[in-house]
Amino acid sequence: MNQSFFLDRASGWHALHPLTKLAVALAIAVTVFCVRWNYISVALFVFIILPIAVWAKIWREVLRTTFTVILPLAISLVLVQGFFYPGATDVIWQIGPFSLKREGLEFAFVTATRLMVIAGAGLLVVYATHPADLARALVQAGAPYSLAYIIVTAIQLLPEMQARADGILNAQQARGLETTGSLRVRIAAFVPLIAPLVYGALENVQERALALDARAFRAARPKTSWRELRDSQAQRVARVLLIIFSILVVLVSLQAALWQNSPLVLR
Amino acid sequence: MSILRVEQLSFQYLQANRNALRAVTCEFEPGTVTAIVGANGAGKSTLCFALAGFIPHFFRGKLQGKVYVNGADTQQTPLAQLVTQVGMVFQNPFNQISGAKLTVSEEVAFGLENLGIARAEMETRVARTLQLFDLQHVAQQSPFALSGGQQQRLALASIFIMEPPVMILDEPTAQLDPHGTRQVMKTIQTLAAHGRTIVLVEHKLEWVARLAARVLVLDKGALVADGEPRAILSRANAWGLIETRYARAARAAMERGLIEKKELLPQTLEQAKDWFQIEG
Amino acid sequence: MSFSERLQKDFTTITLALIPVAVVINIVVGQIVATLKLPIYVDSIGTILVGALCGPLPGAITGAISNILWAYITGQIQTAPFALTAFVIGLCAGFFASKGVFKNIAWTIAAGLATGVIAALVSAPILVYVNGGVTGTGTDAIVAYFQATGANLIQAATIQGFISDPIDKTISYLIVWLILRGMSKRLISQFPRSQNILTEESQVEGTS
Repeated sequence: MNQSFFLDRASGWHALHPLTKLAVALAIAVTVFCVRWNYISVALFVFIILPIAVWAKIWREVLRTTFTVILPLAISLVLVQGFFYPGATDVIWQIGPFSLKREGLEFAFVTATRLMVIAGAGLLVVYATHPADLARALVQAGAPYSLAYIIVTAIQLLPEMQARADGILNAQQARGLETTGSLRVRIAAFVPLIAPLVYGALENVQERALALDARAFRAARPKTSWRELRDSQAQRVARVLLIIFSILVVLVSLQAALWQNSPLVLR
Repeated sequence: MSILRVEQLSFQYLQANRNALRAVTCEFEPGTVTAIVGANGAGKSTLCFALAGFIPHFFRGKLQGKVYVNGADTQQTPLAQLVTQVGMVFQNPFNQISGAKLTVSEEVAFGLENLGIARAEMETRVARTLQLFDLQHVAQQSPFALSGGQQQRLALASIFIMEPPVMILDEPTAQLDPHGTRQVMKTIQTLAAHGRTIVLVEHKLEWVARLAARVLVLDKGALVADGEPRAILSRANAWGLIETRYARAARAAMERGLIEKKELLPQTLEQAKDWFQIEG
Repeated sequence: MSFSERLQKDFTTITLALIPVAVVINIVVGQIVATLKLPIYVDSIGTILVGALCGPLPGAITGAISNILWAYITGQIQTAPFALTAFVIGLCAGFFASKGVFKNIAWTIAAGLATGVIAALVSAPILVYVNGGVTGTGTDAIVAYFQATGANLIQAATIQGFISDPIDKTISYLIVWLILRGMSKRLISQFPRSQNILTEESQVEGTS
């Protein structure tokens, strides 16, 4: 499995402060949920996400991952909601006892394209930002330092633990442990695989904590940082504007919903 | 004046039914290398934790007696302040990698970040420390990509850079191969040459004989011997320790009557040459 | 004890050292379960473990971060909103553990079932609002069936959750119960909520 999705490419988008990229993704996500127009997702994807992805030289990866991730959901949506959307009446196609209905298909289309935008916007951040920079930026924005520690450490320990899991899997298979076959066989394989992994990890926790304390991890004074992030006045202004924009979009859509005197229902 | 002083120290871990330490009293002079030896479960790690302040600040349990670092009572001093006085390095190199840092340089700087040291000062100290610990050529690599010996040198460097006058090393080579062990031991010699006070827990008595000026023996939580390495290590069998190959050879020679019985056994190559009266 | 004092006591260094390890346990055990093609998820063992040993909020944070990290490394960004469910599972585990459920296997099972029901109730609106009621997996057939027999989206999603979540969470609780039985009391006693697991008078042989 691909670990960190960060793609280190030289682009203007990559060079932006992580919080700026996050603010863009947030504004896109808020818009797609708040604007009641069937083609808002397609418009955002084509006119905002794709141009940024091209600028960032990551459009191939963004497109590939977005579609592989969304495809199974889209198929499910068409099958489940296209045929069984509650209250749908406008039959387009009849197949045996089942009928495909316009309202259901419309719902499936809106939901699937919305998921596509959420995935695409998220990937713009994920592919163009080193996780450590993202964590550092969150701390700068006021998140607790321990949050950054947890995120970066988990990302770095994951491949180590996966390698251990593979090692255990191979060792147990070499001793004759069956990991394929009937459900019973596979359940029986579960404990010998996870027990050494979990206990091994837990045994190390105390020493990891001691080693952190030995380096003044919990010192009360303000910390300094070796890693520095580039930021600019223009970006700071842009972030504030994007956040104001997102709040406005939410407020306006709430207002519109109330105006029509309808509860906040799904379209 | 001694830099570390332990007075009548007893400790019982929470959920344990016997004392890990029993009325231990000892002192450590600045700039010396002292080794602590003893069988498994003798209380070596516990004494280290107490010297570095992890008892009582990390481990819960019943504590009696006092530990003074530079005259300050460790019970009254916060841990984050103690670690700038007494640094501690542990057994497992992998566990000492913070995980929060991507390169060796950053990892070494981690303690300085936590202490709030300014960026410029950090850079000078990191460059100097990497040089001293022979890590400059891996400065930009991931700490996880290093060998065990390199990782343990990184752990030593990460503590050294915080400039504690005392460094407590709890079996720093327990998980290393002979090559890694040699690397780390050479580094410890460098630390001693830089005037750090070193307390080293070590099972490999040959290294104890080569590095330490003094040896303490713990047995079932009590301090049972304290003195010059050669005299103490000559009685290693009495405490269930594994003697050095030189001492074993000497004992075999004595038992076969090849050489007259002596109290002091050889513990290093030099001592063995002398003991067996080998020329050259 | 005030809330902030409780937080201070729960977020010790050993808690902070455990959380990333527990996040990784969640993900790797989830992957092993997927490799073995078992019909469950079991992706919150670490979350429940942290809840039991360190308290509700550390457990909740473990859950939320596991979920977001999963979205991050797999590129399945749309699963990130379910971090809320994982957060609530951690809260539940911490809360039930503080009532002593892990001292008794029957209570462990009951707490697992309750957590599963709560998880289903939290997931259902997210599933409907973000995903349109489907997950892209086999359980979508359940949703289709209930919608076809007259349920609305939220009802179908909730029923689907009630069918899968309580079993999954009960199995997870039982696995955590087993893990806690196997951990040394010395190690457990180092965690802030060790009294959730250990009884006062229990004593074991101590070593250094």
